[in-house]
Amino acid sequence: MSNKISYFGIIVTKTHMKIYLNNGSTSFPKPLEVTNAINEHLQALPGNYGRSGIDKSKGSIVSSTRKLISDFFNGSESHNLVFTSGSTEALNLAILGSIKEKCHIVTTAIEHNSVYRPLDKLKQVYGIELTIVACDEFGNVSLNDIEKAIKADTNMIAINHCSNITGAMTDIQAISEIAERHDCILVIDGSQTAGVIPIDLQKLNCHYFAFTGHKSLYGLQGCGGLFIRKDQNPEPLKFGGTGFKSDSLSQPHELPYKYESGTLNIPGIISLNAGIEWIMATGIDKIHERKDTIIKKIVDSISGYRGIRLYYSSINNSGTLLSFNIGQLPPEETHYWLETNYDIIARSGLMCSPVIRKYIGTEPLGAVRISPSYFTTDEEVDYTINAIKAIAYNEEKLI
Amino acid sequence: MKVMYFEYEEGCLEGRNVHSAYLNDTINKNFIDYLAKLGKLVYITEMNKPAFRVIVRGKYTMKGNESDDHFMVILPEGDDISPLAELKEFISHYVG
Repeated sequence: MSNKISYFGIIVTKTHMKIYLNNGSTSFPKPLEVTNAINEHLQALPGNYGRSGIDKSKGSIVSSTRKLISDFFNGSESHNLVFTSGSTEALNLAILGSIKEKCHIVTTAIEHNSVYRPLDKLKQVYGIELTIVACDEFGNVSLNDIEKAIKADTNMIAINHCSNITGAMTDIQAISEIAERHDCILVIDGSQTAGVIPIDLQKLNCHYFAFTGHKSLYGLQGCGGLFIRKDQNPEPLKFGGTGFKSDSLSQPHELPYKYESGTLNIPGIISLNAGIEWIMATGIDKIHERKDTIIKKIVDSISGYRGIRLYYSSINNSGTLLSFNIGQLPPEETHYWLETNYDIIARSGLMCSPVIRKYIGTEPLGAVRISPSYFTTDEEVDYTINAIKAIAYNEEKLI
Repeated sequence: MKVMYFEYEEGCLEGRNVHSAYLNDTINKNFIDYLAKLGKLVYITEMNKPAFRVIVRGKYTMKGNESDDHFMVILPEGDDISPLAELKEFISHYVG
């Protein structure tokens, strides 16, 4: 492999650059437009949204980004957007803020701990009953199984739009119709799909849609949001200064202030603004197609090679990530050799999604996951394929 | 060769008593052979960089790559890190 790799037309030496294939966790590199927007913000006088800041223009970026994101998800008419630190805070607000008494909740085997743990908290506080609907060996959850799990006292369905382990996508439009039919609150975790595929919240009509900014929206870590359908009124999880109605000792009832106490993550919001602008300028379909092409090439190249097991099906798949294991090699061992011997940054283990392993056959230690970027080069893909094959070839010696 | 410092590998799935040893020089085959005096060596040449694993039976496992300035030490589960001091002493006697 050549030791030269090009990012944004800048040639860098491979020896100083690792191959980053952990975009399912955090996207890297960020588009140049995002980096520039953050740099510009950090070098300008600070403003503080809603407060008497020096530069008022720093306040307006919050409102304009809120509108930009709402329009991007077609949620302006149907939903209010609240900024959060990411999906975890958003899901906590949706789940803990809406359920205030004992009831039954349906979730699935493909969720992240950002759903399981707030639900567990509800178990502890209110004694809620939880049904975790199984998935198949590829992480697909049956719509029929979800509907069958609903009981008379089911109040909520909390569901992942896309598994962060297998890339399996759930049909959230159909689940929304199920939720509507049974009068259940629908909470969707869009961590792995926001910025990957077009999402139309007005059509979807879910009660809550949580997203994070640092994955496929190309923002900084620590930014994200929750879309709250306009007929929903969850209890806030945090209280304090909002820069609004400061003469009152009580939390304002007005949105978004009700849920946005404390200093907003302005650099994060600016990065989200630039990230979404970049996605719109580049084309969400074009970005997605590039990732999907890479995943399919890797699948075709390593499938069936020397004990490699893929946890992947091309049907209903996001085409953004690929989890696998090699023979008897523990996933962390494969991860170690990819990183230290080949300078490839992957992810391994349970990836905060502990239930799915029972169904896809990755107990007890999970799998290795690679998740490329739009910027991943063909050369990097070929290098990665050869690296995985070399580790598989040497599996017995590496155990 | 000197171990400059050991760094605890937080959240390492290989166990809760895993450390990286950072050296004052890069690892070469002679050094790997020196480490191999402590136990059983598995040396793999068909990788990007030659890789090694030295299993010191009942004590710990070391693994790493040639040309790196660090390698991993996997100790048995628990709080005992005394083998690291012994290893540091052993490495200090290596003359490349």
